[in-house]
Amino acid sequence: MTTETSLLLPLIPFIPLLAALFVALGETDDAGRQVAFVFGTVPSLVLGGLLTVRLVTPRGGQPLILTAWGGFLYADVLSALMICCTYLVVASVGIYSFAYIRHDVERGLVTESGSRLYYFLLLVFSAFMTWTMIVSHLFFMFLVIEIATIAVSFLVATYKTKYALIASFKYNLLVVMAMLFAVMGAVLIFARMTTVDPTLSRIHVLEMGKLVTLLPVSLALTIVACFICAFGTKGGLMPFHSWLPDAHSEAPAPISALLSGLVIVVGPFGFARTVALFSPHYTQVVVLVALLGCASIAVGILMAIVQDDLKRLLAYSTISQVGYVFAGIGLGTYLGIYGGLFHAVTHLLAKALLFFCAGAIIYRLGIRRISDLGGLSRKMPITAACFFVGCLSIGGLPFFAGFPSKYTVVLAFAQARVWWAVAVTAFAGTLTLAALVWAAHRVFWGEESPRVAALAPAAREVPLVMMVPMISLAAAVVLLGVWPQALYPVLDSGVRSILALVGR
Amino acid sequence: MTAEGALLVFVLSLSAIVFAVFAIETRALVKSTYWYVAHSCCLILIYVTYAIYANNPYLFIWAGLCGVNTWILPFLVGGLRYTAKRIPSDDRATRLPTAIFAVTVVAATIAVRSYSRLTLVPPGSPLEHLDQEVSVNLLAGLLLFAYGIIVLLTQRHLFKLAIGLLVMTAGAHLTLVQMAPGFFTMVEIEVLTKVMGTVFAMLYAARLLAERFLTADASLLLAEPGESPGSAGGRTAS
Repeated sequence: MTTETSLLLPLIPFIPLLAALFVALGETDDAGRQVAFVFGTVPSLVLGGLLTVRLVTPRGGQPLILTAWGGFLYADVLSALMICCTYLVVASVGIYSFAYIRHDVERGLVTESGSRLYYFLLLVFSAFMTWTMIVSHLFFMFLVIEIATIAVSFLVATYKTKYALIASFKYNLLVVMAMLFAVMGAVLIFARMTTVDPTLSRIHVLEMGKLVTLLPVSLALTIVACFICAFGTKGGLMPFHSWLPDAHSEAPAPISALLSGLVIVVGPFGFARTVALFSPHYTQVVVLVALLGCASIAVGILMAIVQDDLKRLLAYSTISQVGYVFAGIGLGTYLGIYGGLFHAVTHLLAKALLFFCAGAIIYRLGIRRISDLGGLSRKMPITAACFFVGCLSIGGLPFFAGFPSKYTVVLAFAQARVWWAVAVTAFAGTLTLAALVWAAHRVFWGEESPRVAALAPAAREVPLVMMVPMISLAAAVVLLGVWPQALYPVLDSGVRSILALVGR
Repeated sequence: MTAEGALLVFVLSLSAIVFAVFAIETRALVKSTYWYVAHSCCLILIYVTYAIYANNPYLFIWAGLCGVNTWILPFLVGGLRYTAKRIPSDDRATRLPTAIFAVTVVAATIAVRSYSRLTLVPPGSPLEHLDQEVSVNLLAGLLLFAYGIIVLLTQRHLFKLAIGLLVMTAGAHLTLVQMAPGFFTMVEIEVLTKVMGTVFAMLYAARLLAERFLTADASLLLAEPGESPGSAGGRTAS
């Protein structure tokens, strides 16, 4: 691995933090907050893009690592990719929220100060998400994950209804509890390592790969169990998922998109940094992660099928999809990690799109029960088309982003000869497509429901500022479906940088 | 660590566990806060003992931060005592967490005794010869961690859940001190964040719920008629 010092790296999280301070302390109106938000996220997105371009390794070359502050911050291509995803989703969510939250303020669901807090928390979240991706100290990584969690828990409670507050409390409690398991895992590694090197004073994420081979099997498996509990909870993996459906359904639609698209990605990211390093050395880890991943895939979609609430259906579908990501990364093979990371990106785009579409329906009609909806395609044709694109991608249909990523994970299972997992993913994949297309049909193409008919004057397309993120995400989903190679250099470098940590 | 120091830590660890049990079992929330303060004081003394007997000055910083937490968390506006005075007490308290914990303590002790030997001061690293000797203080730290988990899984009162999380955190840090006393960096910041951020956020949510629904018991809140799940942001409740 080649290491270089970068001055760019520390700058990225400071831009949204400065914007957050401006939003919190400045006497800003709505327009001021929106400008601050754009200036807080778009430059970071550009910097993330530049970082990714810089870090993509030429074929056959050594993976490059950028460091700053004496190695306290570091970025490989995986970090850079995640930074890009973070600012892409946060920028989309923020722009979508300009109209959505204003509408909620007008309806009295959110106060003016609540709106200010909303943008402040969104910016703080993006800054700490970036820290999560670039900090090298394992304990500091847990710390910034907790701060990001606090920001998200306040965002979930934006409406301050009973269920929103309980969902926020539950999310906060479970994720922090899970992070304590991560702390225990790190403590076990450190305690063992100090017997080998008494001068050790911290665990560097990049050194984890070297440490895992020095651990006794029973201790290694205990550590893996701690990390699975921790990052499984953060990522919404079965059976640690109980916070996810409540938080998704009680949060404002843009925040649901943020949760499903981005917040859960921290789980797989942490998984790639920890558990994936154990997989090549301990076959038990591969079996355990494949089991949990497949349970998540199957149970998640079975639960999704019986939901009548559109946002809850999408939330359970997230539990199912995240199973592919975890199982792929947990395999620890090139193909598995590649597929897992690829699916994390494609799912992020498609699920954010679907939640934006659900938000568009709530924005216009205030209805989220599927049985109360129907025949909306005539009134909201662009939303209908975007929703359908998202469904087909999550369903894994060819020419949509979800197909190549899911297919890669299935191929990775076949390569590892985990045939039962191939069977489960094939079965669950069919169910996913059926469930989502059926939901899309009932919402947009079914017979117009009496409630929609009663609200007919309100049923029309959402404002342009909400439409732009939806159309952009839909375009990205189609583009990645027909041209999946676009992400190949980045993902390939990312996988190679992870495998280099375990000496492969 | 000498036998004298280890014995002192053991007594303090046991006291921390007993005070944690009282903090959870007491129905009056203000009293529960004071039991938590007693529990935290034991933790401070444990860190000081370790700092002195293990000759690790960094643990004085830990003890100092724990002292700050012991003052901030219960006594600052928005903290435990402030919240305890503003939300209804835990009328439906059960003895379930403590009963499960008692069984866990017995089972863990039997399990450890059947595979290895419980010692006050293990020779070398605590993790090196787990199959031969296990430190009682390590077991105490792990049991405190386990008690926190049991409380989080069995309690329904939001205030008690916040205390359960703090107990679990204390267990994790106690285990950390037993196993790797040199691993100090950043952990103290993490402790402060948990106190400043997470617990205050949880207590804020508990207060808001109690103000509006006159209870902070999650099972009662969910059973109460009114808003339906998923009504947030929608035009209609159902």
